[in-house]
Amino acid sequence: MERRLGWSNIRCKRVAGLLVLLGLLLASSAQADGPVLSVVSPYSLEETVANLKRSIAAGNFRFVRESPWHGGLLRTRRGAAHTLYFCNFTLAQRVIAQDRRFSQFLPCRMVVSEHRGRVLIQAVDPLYVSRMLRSQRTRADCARVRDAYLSLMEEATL
Amino acid sequence: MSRWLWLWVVGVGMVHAGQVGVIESRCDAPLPEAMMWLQKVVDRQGYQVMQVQPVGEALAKRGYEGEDFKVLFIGRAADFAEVEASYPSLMPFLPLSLTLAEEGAGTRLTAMPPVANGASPPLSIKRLMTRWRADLTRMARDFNTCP
Repeated sequence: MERRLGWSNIRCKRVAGLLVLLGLLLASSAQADGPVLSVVSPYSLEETVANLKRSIAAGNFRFVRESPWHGGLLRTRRGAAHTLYFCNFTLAQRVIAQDRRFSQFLPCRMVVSEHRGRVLIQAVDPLYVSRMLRSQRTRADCARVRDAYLSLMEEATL
Repeated sequence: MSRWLWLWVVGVGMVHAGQVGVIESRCDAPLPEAMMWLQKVVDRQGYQVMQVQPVGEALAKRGYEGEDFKVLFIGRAADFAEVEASYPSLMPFLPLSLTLAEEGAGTRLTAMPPVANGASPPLSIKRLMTRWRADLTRMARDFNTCP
């Protein structure tokens, strides 16, 4: 017996299908820019740390401190990950004045680590945080910080 | 129809997957006393205080005129080991940090749990992230009861 579909049934399925597609598109765009900036380094971990310190000094940032990533909570061993802390005080003041929640992310920091033979430089993406916190006022400055981070990472891995 | 609607709900739900916010709390004590209280709260939750960064002071030396604030870095050895072994993308979020800022005569606490860098971290990491959120929430609640 031939099944005849009514107009309302077909329309219903098309609308539902479009809604599914829209939902999935929204989901994929939300996931497209993740919260972490990451660059692979062709150098050893120690060389990458040294390069990154030089990039920070040459850039518009003040170096604050360096420490083992785990802060001494794990037994020290060769090749342990390092965190470098640094700051552009002018930019930091401006961002905090716009949204004090960003004090959470000061000073700026990057982690240099080695996994399965690959050395990585990683940092939390400030622009992602600005979007996640729906902080429109900080958007422009967070975009600047993000660009600065990527420049530091690229310089350190050239 | 209900099957399609269900798929749509899942799709939209994915938009909010991993979207977490900031945890905030307040204590009526001034910043120095609030910091001492927070360190006790952190210790009770089984975390170690790794560093206190006086960011506000550093900014003030350079002309910053806003309220003073400090960042407290905390951690647990097992968490560092787990993240490094299973999900290195979370490394930039550790150590966990809590910010204390002067707010009038009292002090405000702010913390943000780590966010996964991808749709499917391993189960052990999902559990860790759930625990961090619960622990930070509990710390914020206990911070609110400062003497």
